[in-house]
Formats: sequence, structure tokens, C-alpha cells
Amino acid sequence: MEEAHQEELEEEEDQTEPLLLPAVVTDEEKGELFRELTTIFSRKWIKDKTTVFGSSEMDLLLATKFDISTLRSTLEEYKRFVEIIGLELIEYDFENDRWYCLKTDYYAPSELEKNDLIILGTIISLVEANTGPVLTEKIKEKLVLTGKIKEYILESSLRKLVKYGYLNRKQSEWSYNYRTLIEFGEEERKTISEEFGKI
Amino acid sequence: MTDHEISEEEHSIATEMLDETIHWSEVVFHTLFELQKKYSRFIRRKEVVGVRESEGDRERVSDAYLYLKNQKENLVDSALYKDFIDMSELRELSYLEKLLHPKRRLDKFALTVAKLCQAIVFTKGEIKIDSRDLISLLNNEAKDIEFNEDIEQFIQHYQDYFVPLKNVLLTKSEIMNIEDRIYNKLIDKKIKKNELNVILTSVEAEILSKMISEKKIFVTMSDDELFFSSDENNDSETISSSVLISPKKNHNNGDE
Repeated sequence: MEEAHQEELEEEEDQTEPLLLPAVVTDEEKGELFRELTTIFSRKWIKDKTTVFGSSEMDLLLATKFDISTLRSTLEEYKRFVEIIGLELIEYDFENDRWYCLKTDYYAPSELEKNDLIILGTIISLVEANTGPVLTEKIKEKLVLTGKIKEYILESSLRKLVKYGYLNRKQSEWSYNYRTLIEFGEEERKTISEEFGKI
Repeated sequence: MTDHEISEEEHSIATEMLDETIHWSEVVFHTLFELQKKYSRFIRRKEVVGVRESEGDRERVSDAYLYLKNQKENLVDSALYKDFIDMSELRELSYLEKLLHPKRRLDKFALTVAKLCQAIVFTKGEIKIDSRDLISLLNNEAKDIEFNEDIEQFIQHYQDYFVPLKNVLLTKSEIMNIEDRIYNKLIDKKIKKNELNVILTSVEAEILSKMISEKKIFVTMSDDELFFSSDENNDSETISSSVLISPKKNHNNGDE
């Protein structure tokens, strides 16, 4: 019990320690922080039945005990650090919270399979065409009625795309979720809708 | 024929030729204009004009440049040639598409989407250890983020334990005050072990523990009862140190 007591006292001492600003953080400490950030940013979580990547800003604030401006300047430095190894620190909004994750400009295997890619591509081209809301019937009309894809495959793929954070569903209306916007830039989305015209 | 007559005849021939040229250039420009309209319409609708028809049209306007006079006409001519090229590309693509199986076209589309995707980087892998603990571990991982309420409930439940921990930094005078309080509460009294946690707060318990180890207070234990005194009682064995911390209130006294 005495040990437990000691530990508690140590914890209490930790809490009262002055916060370290990056200026007084040594290189070694910074190296360790960056290693931990790389680990946390490449993690995958499930939140509200949707896959999310990396860490939310709130969690980072709680974990590092930095204030917001210190955290953001540290992340700026981390951003330059990971650029060297071809990674990009991306920020995105998920349920009114700011999240951070890593992306590569070169190549990373996609989680999606062929059918998911076809369906996602179709929905992207429908959204980009900007001709009113994208409804489930519209997607079925393009893919199922023309005999391109079976209905049960379409439905399971749509569920998968929602779970993986690519699409949002509001009743029968579909829209982009954060992941589509991260993984497909504006030009890429335009190219996809042009390519869709050819099939 | 006089010289005058000859020159008049030449003049009339020249005028006729000029009229004919003007007429021709009008006809040529009209043809160019009509064809350009036709091809741009077909391209917009992605409809294919057959090779034979397209070649015929091209031949009709192949010498048109000889009759063009101004920049506007030249522009129409070049626009038409661009449309000929686009139409030829469209025709080739449509032939190729007819040759490709629809499924292959879908595959090609999937490949295009995959190529344009710049995926998020994350550590991916299947968990090989097959045990129930792992499932609970995974559930816990989800809980970390999902159920902040649980943490809040936990904190609320053990609030009594958490709150005193905030008053850690005590000055010497504060410690002395607490020591005095403990003296008043405990000295020359017999108290049951279980009652102690009701009487003392956790900070007081810590200070009491410190006081016992510093021999400011002497404790004698008999069964469940503790007797506190300020003088050492040589007749009985006294306790040298004591730790009185536990988050639960029902038992918090451990003696050594």
C-alpha cells in the first residue's frame, strides 16, 4: 500500500509540473514525441460505427497537455518532418471535431475492392454532375438496371463505403464523407466523372 | 477588231472571272460553315459520322483555302479541321469500346478510380492471436473514444478520493494546522479501525502516517481498536508506521 501511496504522490507531482514549451523541449524529447505522433496518426479507430484515422485535436491536447497554439506549432514542425519521408499530415473535420491523419502523395494500397471502386466512382460522378440530390434509385438506375452490377453487391458495397468513412447517407440521399474528400482531390473527382461518361 | 474592242473584251472576261471567284468563295465559305456546324453538333452528342461520309466532306473542302480571304473564314476552316480530327478519335474510341467487353470497361473504370486515389496511410493487419481477451481488448479500444461518459461516471463515483488529491501543495503552517487538528481528534482516544476513515480526510490520513513515522504520535493496537497517545507507552508494543490510503471508504486502514 505504501507503494501505491508513493505512486499517487508521484502522479500528483506530475500534475503540478510546469508545462514544457517546444522551445525548451530537447531534441531527444521532440524525437520521442514525433515517434509517438507517427504511431498515433497511423492508427485506425471505430467511432460511431465509422472508421476514423489518426487522432482528434482534443485527444492530442489532453495527451500532451500543450495549449492549442503550442500544439499547432508543434504539428507544423511535425508536418515538415514527415514531408521528408513522403508523408503528408492531413487535417479533416469529423463530427465537428478536428482530426489529424497521414496520407501519402505517392502510393498506398486502397482498402476498397473492385466493386467498391466502381460504385464510389459512380457516386462521385453523380455528385460532380451536380444535377440534384444523389438518391439510391439513381445509383441503381445507373448500375443495376443496366446490368453492370448485381443489387446485393451494390447494397453491401454501399454499407462498406459508409463504414469506411467514404460516404454519408441521409435517408436515401448520398453525399461525400471526409475520406472521399481526403483521398480524391478536386481534379481527380473531375477526371473520374469524365471517365464515367465513357462507360 | 480594234484595239479598243480587244481591251473591252479582256475587261469583260476579267470581270466575269472576278464575279465567279467571289461567287465561289461565298459558296466555299457557306459549305465550310455548314460542315463545321454539323460536326460540332455530332461531337457534342457523341454521335459518330461514318468514315465514307466524313472522307467525302473532307474532300469537298480540301481546296477551300484557295478561296478564303479573311481571318474569320480561316478560323472557320481550322475549326472544321479540328472537328474532323475529334470525330476521327471519337470513331476509333467507339470501335474500341464495341470490341471491349462491358465488364472489361467496368474493370478499367475501377482501375482508374484506384489510380486516382491517394490513400490514407495506416498500419493495417489482421490480429492472429485467437483469444477472448483480445475481443475485450478491442472493445476497450473502441470504448476509449466512444464512452467518455464512463470516465466521467468513474470520476464522479470516486469524487471523494479525487478531490483531496488537488490540495497537495501544503505550506508548513498548513501542515502544522492539520497536525493540530489530528491531535485534537485523536489523542487519548480509542477509535475503531473502520471509524478512522470517517473521522479523517485523506490528507489528514497522510499527515497522520507521517506523524507516526516521525514518532510524534504513538499508536497502540488492541483487537480492532486503536489507541492514540502523545507519549510513548513502554508497557505495550506501539506501531511504528501506518498507511491509511485507499479509494474505498469501507476499509482504508492498513498498519505495519
